[in-house]
Amino acid sequence: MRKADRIAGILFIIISMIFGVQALKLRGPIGGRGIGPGGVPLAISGGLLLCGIILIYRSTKGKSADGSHSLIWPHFKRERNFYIVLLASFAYPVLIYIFGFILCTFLFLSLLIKVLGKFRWRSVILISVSSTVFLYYAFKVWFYMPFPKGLFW
Amino acid sequence: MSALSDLFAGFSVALTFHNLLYCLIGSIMGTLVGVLPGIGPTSAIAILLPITSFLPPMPAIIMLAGIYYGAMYGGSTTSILLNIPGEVASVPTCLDGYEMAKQGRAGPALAISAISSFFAGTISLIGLTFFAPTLADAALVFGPPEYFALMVFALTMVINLSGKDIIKGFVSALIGFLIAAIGLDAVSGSARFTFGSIELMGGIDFISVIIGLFAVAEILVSMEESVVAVFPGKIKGLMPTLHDLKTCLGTMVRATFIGFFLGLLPGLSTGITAFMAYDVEKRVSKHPERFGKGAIEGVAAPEGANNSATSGAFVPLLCLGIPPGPALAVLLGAFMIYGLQPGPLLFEHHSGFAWGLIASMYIGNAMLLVLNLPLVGIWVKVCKIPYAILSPLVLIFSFIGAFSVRNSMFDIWLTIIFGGIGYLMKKLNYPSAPLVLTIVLAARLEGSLRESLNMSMGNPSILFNRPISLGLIILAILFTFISFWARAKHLRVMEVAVEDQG
Repeated sequence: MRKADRIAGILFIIISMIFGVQALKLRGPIGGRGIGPGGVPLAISGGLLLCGIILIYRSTKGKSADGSHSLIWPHFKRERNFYIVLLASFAYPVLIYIFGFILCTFLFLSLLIKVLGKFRWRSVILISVSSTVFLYYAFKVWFYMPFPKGLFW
Repeated sequence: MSALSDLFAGFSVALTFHNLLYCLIGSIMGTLVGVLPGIGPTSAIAILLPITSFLPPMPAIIMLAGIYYGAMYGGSTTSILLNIPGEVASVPTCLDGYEMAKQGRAGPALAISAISSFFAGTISLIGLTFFAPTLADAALVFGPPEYFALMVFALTMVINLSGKDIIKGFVSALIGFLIAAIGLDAVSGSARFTFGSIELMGGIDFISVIIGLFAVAEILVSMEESVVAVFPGKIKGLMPTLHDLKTCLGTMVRATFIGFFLGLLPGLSTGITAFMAYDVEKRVSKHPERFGKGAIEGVAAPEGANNSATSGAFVPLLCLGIPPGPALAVLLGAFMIYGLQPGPLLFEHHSGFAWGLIASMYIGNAMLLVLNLPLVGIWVKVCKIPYAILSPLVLIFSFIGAFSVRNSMFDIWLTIIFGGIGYLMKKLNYPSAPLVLTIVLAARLEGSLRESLNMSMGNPSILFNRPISLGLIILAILFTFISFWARAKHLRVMEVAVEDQG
């Protein structure tokens, strides 16, 4: 976890610098008194910078304050479900513009239920179709939600 | 006594068969809509409002009351069963409610949510009945310096929500401030931290953040841990035990008072009230380490406070026309459609209508308990659904819930990104509650500070020379030191224990 704390500390320092520089570019208070739009964010960025430095310092000294152990990323093969869900989540908002809401939602549900649960295709299709129909009627028909239309549907 | 007789008159109008039936229908519809992730009470009321338009005013208002309470309870249901908070005030419920569900105690969690809401709503109604006009005047004393001090006091909760590592808690809170700052500045209209992006000019929507941090992140963690179901074992005990109820009695009383008095303050979000009640319970508890791991008080406190804050909020809502948040703002708009004119003379000139409204809110609250307690056994079956089916459905609901706020695909991307951030936060032991709390507080805190300094021509002493403001700041500093001291003491005790074992 020391390495993770060190990386996190560096990241927070970078974030604080980006926001701090942007805050300095904002105009001052109206009438010259009080705090402008950049005042509070600048102070917050300073605080984040300090926390980042503390995290880096602590990582060089010893164990993490919360006593946690090293960060272990999910194994690509053993915990493949994690990566499948992650990939499907990123793919959904991209593919919805190609397949449209109904088809994309059906494909998303079918793929994940089949891969995660290893159910029979009959069960997968039944659950996916009924869920998609419910979602369509609940959100598109009843709530008039303007979902993106695909190239085909 | 005049107020009491007016209240009874209000009940006599509201308690007819037809009105009760409309309330029941409203509660059912509100619950069903409120259960949908991303559809909180605000959206639920706005969506279902047209359905009430064909009714006469009194039944319409009673139905709206049922919809409001039903939607609030529906939001609590998804918080407990699926870790998806539907609105700000549901976030503290997620912290312990979902943990209870994972331990096979979803039934007691759902039941105590309804019971605490009913208890707090009932008691706070008494406060509203007898003290409403007086309290309306008292609430006007709060100006920008007082609000700033109150927000600072609320921020002391950050320390209590930080877990073992205070630095990580502060980082989480500071990140929350920066996230809240993205978009257009409310005071000057300047674009802040948008980096030229049109989407970011609209700011980071809070719903996307909390759905990502809680629902999506939880699914990613569960995928890694190969979870079979939320609770795969045999579910025993759908209702809280006598011990649970005894434990929660003090909680409900404290939550009622906290929620009611904070609800009096015009413009104060019920989300802050829920967090405050949760924090107070954690502070007064003999075993604060249980919070965040399935403490039933952690569900009772925010749910009760949320409900009593609504009663308290009726004071500025009706007397001053100032709603505390979007849900009650929509509700107020609906009431105005039906002839209610908020203002200082409301209770004098239209007491019958106002008390009928209050009676209808009470009936809606009671209907919630009557309707949902028997349904607890059905709701808990969600915990048995195989996770392979539940998790894709929760993801889709999360995406749609995020999309529904602004009809923008950008919010779906935000949900996914914050899901990833939430996953990393869980892995690296960064608490998400401080981040959520500061996103809620940031705009109000910054706005109050800048308004205060504008009032005093830039002189910061305005924050310290007003008694309420000074008192709250002193309390905040005191609580902060007490929290640090208690934490340091606990760490020393643990170190000694480890040394003794070694």
